[in-house]
Amino acid sequence: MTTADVNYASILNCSRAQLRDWIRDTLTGQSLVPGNPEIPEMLTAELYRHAERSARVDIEHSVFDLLLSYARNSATWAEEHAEALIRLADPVLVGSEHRAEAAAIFVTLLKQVDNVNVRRALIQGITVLRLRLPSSVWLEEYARSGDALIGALFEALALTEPDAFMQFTLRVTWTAAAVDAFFTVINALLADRGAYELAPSIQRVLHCWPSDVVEPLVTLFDHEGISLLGAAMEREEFWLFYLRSVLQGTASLSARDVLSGGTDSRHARRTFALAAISEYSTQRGHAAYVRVLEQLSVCDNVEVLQLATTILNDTYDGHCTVRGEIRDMAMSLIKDSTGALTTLASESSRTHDPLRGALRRVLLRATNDKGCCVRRARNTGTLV
Amino acid sequence: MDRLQRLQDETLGAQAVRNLYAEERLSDANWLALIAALVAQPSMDVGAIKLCVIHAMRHIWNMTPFPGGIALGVPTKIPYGRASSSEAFARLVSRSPGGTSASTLLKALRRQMLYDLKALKAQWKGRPLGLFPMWATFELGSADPFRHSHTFATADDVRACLGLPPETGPVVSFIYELPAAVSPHYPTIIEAYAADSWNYYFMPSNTNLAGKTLPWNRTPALDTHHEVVHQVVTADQLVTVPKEIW
Repeated sequence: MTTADVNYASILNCSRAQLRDWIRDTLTGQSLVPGNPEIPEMLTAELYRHAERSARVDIEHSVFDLLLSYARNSATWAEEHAEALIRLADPVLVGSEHRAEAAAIFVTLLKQVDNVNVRRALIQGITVLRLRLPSSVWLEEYARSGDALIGALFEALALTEPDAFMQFTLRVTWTAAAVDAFFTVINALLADRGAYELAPSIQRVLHCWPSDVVEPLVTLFDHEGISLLGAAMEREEFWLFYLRSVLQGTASLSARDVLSGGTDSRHARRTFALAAISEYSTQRGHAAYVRVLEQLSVCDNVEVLQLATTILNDTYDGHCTVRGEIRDMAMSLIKDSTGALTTLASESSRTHDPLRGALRRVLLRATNDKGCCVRRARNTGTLV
Repeated sequence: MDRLQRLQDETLGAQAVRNLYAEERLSDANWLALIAALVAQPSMDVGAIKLCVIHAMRHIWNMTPFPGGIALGVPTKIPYGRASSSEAFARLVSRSPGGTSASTLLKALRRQMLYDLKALKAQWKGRPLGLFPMWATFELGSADPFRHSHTFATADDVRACLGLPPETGPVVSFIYELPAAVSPHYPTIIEAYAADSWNYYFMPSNTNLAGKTLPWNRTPALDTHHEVVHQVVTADQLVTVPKEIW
């Protein structure tokens, strides 16, 4: 068995006509040269990479000749072979003197050809050859071809006008192919432009995308050191998703990020507080205390305060092994929650809440800082 | 069989003819279809003969997608491996509905392979890892399907051992599990010669218990490697993050 390496030198020594025939034979399956069975254009791409500058020019002319022959009489080319020929734009025509002319041919062919695979190759070819068309062209193309060309259209739009690309995403059906294409384009844009340039465009439309786009995207930007949470949590379903992640300890986000996100903050924080209380009741221990307290530090409502008071009570009753730290955190929380404190004081007074003792201790300790609050509580008869 | 002789006279056709004679697992009906196609081919041009064989193989393949039958004795719940030149993989994906240009895909691919498996799968949702039929390798008793006596230090080592085309540049390796509905099959000459570009390094099994890739003739000489073909699987089946080897 020989290695059967392709003898590129002998091919490159051929006349231009022979070279063109060799390329056509490899594209149409008539060559015995071992190649990639799924990618017929790979052999010519390989040949191009092995060639010196002068030989490269010969290959560029040959491929362009074949392209012209296809454009003049497309019926003589099977569609799969035409597709492979068009795909030779990368790498053969990108740097050639035929670049602009080839791109113009692709645009003309795009109007004439019906086969979807050839059309996809043409759009990708136009992009590769750096011809920037108005976004309206691609929107019309989407109306004509639909989701079958979604990746090529994403790319063409993204490289022309990133904002137009973002707006376009609001019109598409998020099939698996669209999600895949979206992340290909986003990663390529991140490589070219960087996360900071890209983030503002994304944040404007993020809340309109489905969760199987938003969640990986937030993770992806987390890797880049940019939080997209504020935009993502405009929608309650995302807010709740991140809330759950925080409570389960699987999120790389801070509770403060989650709690400060979302437009319906009152509702959201109440939901969060209830969830935190639920977690607290099943996960007592140092880690749970600290995490819950940390998560609650931006909240201000009765449920939260009740929880903080429970924690305080526990620390006084000796359930917690790190009393000082926990007590200070809970105290700080309660002292900062003036409105809720008054309400809670009132409720505990009426119901003989067992937390009352703990609450009174807290209120007394808070007197220096919150004198008015305590006076008000006493005046209304809620604290005796 | 003068047409096969004509094919055999060409260095690059000789292996294909040897394989045609060595194949033992096709039915009589499949052989008759192939012989009838060759006899009906009027030209002695080697390119025309090759096309004739391809068309006959495709016809048989359309009638019987896996003409060699299910490969008994190959466990399905083991990691399978597949390697492809990075550029070839990008060019393959670029042909799908979600495909962008190959250069953009390649650029994205190199970033995406830095993420963890969960993040990668979320981004490659439903991405096919190849075309039908997919060729794969495996190593019984090992979680690493690429495990081999020879170390895969470079991209050419991988290409040589797995009989990939002698291309340049890095290769990307995938390790995945087959979904329950997909069964591996040992490949026959039908899978090897139904595509436009022939699988030069294919060697048919001479028993029903093995499928082997013929490696390139490198120093040191490489052992043959197991291979199977199966239906297309997607990135959802990956068990590790794909790795690029230069």
